[in-house]
Amino acid sequence: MSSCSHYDTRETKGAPSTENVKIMRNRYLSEPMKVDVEYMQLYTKAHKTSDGLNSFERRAHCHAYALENLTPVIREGELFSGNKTRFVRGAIPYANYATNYILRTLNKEEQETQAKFTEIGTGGGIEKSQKIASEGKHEVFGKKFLVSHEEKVILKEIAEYWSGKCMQDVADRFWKNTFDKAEYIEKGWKAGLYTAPHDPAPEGRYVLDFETALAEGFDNIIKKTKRLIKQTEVTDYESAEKVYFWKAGHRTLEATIKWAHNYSEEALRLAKTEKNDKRKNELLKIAEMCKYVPAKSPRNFHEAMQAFWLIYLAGHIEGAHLGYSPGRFDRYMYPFYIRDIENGTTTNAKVLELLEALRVKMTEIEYMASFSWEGLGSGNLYQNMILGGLDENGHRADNELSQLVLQSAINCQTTQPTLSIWYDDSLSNKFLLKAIECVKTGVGFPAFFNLKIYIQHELQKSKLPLSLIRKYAAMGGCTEPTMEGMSYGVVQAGFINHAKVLELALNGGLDPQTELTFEKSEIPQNYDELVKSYKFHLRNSIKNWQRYWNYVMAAHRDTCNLIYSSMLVRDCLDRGKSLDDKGAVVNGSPTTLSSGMVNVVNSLASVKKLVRDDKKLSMDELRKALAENWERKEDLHKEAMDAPKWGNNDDYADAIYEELFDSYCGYVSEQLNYLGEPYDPSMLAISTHAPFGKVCGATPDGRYAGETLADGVTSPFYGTDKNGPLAVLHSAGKIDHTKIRGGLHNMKFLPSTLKGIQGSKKLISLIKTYFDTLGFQLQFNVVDSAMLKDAQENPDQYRDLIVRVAGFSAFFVELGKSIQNEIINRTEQNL
Amino acid sequence: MQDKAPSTFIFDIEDFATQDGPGIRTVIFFKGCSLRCRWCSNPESQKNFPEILHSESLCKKCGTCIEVCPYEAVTFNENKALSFNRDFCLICKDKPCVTACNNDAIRIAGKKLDVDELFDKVNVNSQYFSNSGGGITLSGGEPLLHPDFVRAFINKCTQFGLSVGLETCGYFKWDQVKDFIENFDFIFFDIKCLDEKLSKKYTGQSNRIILQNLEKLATAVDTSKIIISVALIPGITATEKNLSSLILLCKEMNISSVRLLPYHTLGKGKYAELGREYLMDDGVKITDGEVREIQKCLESNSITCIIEGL
Repeated sequence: MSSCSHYDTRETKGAPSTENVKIMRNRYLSEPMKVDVEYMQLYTKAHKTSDGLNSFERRAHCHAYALENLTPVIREGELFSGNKTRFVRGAIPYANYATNYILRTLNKEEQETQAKFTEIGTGGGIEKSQKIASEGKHEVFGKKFLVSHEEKVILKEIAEYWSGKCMQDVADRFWKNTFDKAEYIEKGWKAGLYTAPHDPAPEGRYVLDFETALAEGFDNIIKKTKRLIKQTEVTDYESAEKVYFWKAGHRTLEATIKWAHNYSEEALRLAKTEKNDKRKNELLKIAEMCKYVPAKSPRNFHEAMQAFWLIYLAGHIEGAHLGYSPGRFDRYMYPFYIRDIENGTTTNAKVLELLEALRVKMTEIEYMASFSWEGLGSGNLYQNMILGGLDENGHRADNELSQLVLQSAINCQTTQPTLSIWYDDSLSNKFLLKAIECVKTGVGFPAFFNLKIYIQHELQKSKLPLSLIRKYAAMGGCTEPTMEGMSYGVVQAGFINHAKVLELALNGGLDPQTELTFEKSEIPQNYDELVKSYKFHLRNSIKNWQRYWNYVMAAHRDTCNLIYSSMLVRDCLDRGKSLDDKGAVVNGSPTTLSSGMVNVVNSLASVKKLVRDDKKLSMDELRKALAENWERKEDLHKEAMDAPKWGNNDDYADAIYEELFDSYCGYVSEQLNYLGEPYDPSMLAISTHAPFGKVCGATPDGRYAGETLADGVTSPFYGTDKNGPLAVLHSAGKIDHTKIRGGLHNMKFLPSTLKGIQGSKKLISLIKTYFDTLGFQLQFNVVDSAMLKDAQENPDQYRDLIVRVAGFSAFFVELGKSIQNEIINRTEQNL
Repeated sequence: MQDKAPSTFIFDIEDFATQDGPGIRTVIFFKGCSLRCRWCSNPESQKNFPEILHSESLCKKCGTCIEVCPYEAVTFNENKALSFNRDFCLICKDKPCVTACNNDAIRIAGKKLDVDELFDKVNVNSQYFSNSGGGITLSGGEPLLHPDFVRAFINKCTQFGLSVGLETCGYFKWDQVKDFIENFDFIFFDIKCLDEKLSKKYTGQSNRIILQNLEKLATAVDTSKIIISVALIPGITATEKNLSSLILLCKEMNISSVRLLPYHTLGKGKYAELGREYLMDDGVKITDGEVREIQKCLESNSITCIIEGL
């Protein structure tokens, strides 16, 4: 995930290519974030009057009724329409998923314990919300959203209605009373072993089958659904469920067409009074398009954009999504593009304008969740558009449209969608250079993913044919691959804090910070016992976490099953089964995410060196030093810091990572998910490394109590990589990335390091070589002056930033202030 | 019995260097240089032996280093700051002051490595080199002050197909290097002041040997391998007169590439760490515009320019 709050550009600087996009982007930048109750109000109304319907039908009916009755909003500058809420930056309060946090927020009660150690940003739109609230018509909901006084009353009614009925409450009633490890889970939250429950936004991490939806049009899918209903006689529970599902699915597709028609009518209405001829024509075009799609297959690229957006957005509205993604956009949209280009009915400039507009539309979607989740996810929706890759025959799949998508991100800098590239050696040089050009704007993407690794992973996991994996490999969420249009949405339990697991291991199952005891174990007296104890606690924490989540997923099926999305994920329709009933082709997707492994590796390396090899001290003495946060133990602390560390291409530490990594993957896969498939391990950190660090005491690697953990999956702990960026990559390349789904490696560079076309080529070589050594992911921050100023203020977060000038090299944060200022000035000038 | 592999002092090895020749390179910094250019950004490169660097900003003045120094080379001065008497410091093998310092305020520049050890350290990146058309760049200090070491090292690299480039200040003994100098894939040859008097004033040495070496080099190797490196120091090297002489020199030698290195003060802090004074005037600056002017002027004389820097 990349944060891109800095819009200063570096070597490449773009601007929206047309007035329309400029209007849209400026509007987005000037608007505050708002709660919009409309969808939930309509949904709740439908729910109140649909007692007695089958659970599929009821869920479909509520969503469909709400969708059909949403106010269609078309804003100035928009060339295709469809908005999630009535506000530019609106969020839907999905009380049907979780209502507790809404009620608590409304009552200004204390949030969950974890809110205490989670921070959210305060800049940009958040600041604006607080300012507007002070003017009187709105108040702040949570930390960053505005809600009007009238809507607040409605929100409260809604939230109260869902109390006891929402997924979270249904699940809580279930697992808290029946799951034998319920107490462990609750302790885990208190101690920060786990992130807060993820109920407010549990899903996403999948991609709809846009290819089929666009090629067939909803009318044909509906026809097929009707035929299936007719052909199926209800003889048992299973056949009855099928018919219920089809009926429900049918309802959602019809509603989506109706919703599109509402936009068509709104566009006509606006066109009638529009004085500007150009705008009038644009509105008439929208009216025509929304009448035609998504019911029918689009006739041109513009219509395909309108269709894609409505199909995508309807799914986004149905669920409380994080990581819900557009997938291989440059593949399934290409036929529409090339047809128009070849028959001369569109130009690249027109296509570019639409692509830039799409960036604004995707960025406008906001999500709200409990405070701690907003903090953990940094408010990011993780909509990931992945480009390049291979076709089914193994040939490179990048095309002219892929390059235009990159150009649109250069021109229209917004946070969403985040772009990724499936890297293969055969990708065209032109495309890769364009990708690096985008990296150089400083937005932090595209990120590069090694397709070869994912293919190997998927061949082992799902055993799908190679050609299928090549063609549909996509990204669902920030760094987790998924099979486009055929996978169960990765509903994740949340994150496990490895550093906390280590604390439990060191102290026989006791968390020294909260004094809660988890599973009891022997207090380790030497290195080997510590490793053993760590593995014991790791296994327990994973197992309990995954089992707990299956209870929640059972509640999910009954309350929030995705009906519309199921209709657009293969093979739900054919099988007559929803996503939660194993209708998808790939069902093993849920992942267990973890963060802090690097600190554990460094800690074990430190114990191995100081306790086992050098016999400097006993485990008890070490425990004492940790409990006292290294106080008056400066010498020992230095020795701990000097012990081998991950990220230096030193097997002493790296071999420990390999061992723990293998154990982690093994433990995750031992457990089955709600659909009976093995959990698929993943590792990423998003913003968990800060709150997870905050709840942990000092660790044997020399980290002080409360200090932030290492970022990402394979990134070294701040300032402990002493041998340069390639050494870090050598370390990272040692782990077998084919075992996990997802991984992240962040590198920071000054613009001068990558200057010019030569610099771009060097970066491409770096990616290629790292991927040759079986690395999985790379993303780059090309720093700008704003970031460097931030580095002056927060040196700890920039310990790895190297200043490299011909013949000179130093860590930025170690340079004197005046010299840092010189670099900042030079970066602004950018020769 | 085989001769022991030659060894020498190296003070830094940088991977993923992107401004020191083609492709992704690892740069090796040798210790020892006969020049004392005032603007040098690596003052720790100049002496031919390990040196102690002490960072005032990291130092918490705890005095632990004073206690552990066997030669009383560290003391508190009248301003309660630490003072290193480098005449007494013998750079102990076990580095007691470095080990004792809990704040990473003391470090030693210069580690003795033999050819094989050095080769192993850089060879790990060979895939990055071959994929990017990169390799190793010898820098410093003056690598050619260690001819036996460099000869053995470059032989080893050639055996394994690694490309080696050189950054030289031009001040070395030609006879010691003439047998292997053509093995470098490229040579960045520093030219500072073409006026002998100015050269003496600002680099501490006459430029006679440097210019003689350049001439010999231009006859001994293909001149397309030679790139003249010019640190652009306002009022010293970046003057009209100096640059006109440079253009003439390039023409005479049939050299058509120049690398421009705009002046920066990034190395300033290291002078203080070494207990030395930074002799450049404050406020010396070169603007982008001036650099571009110089580039234009050189290019109008059919000289290709590379600009490196921030």
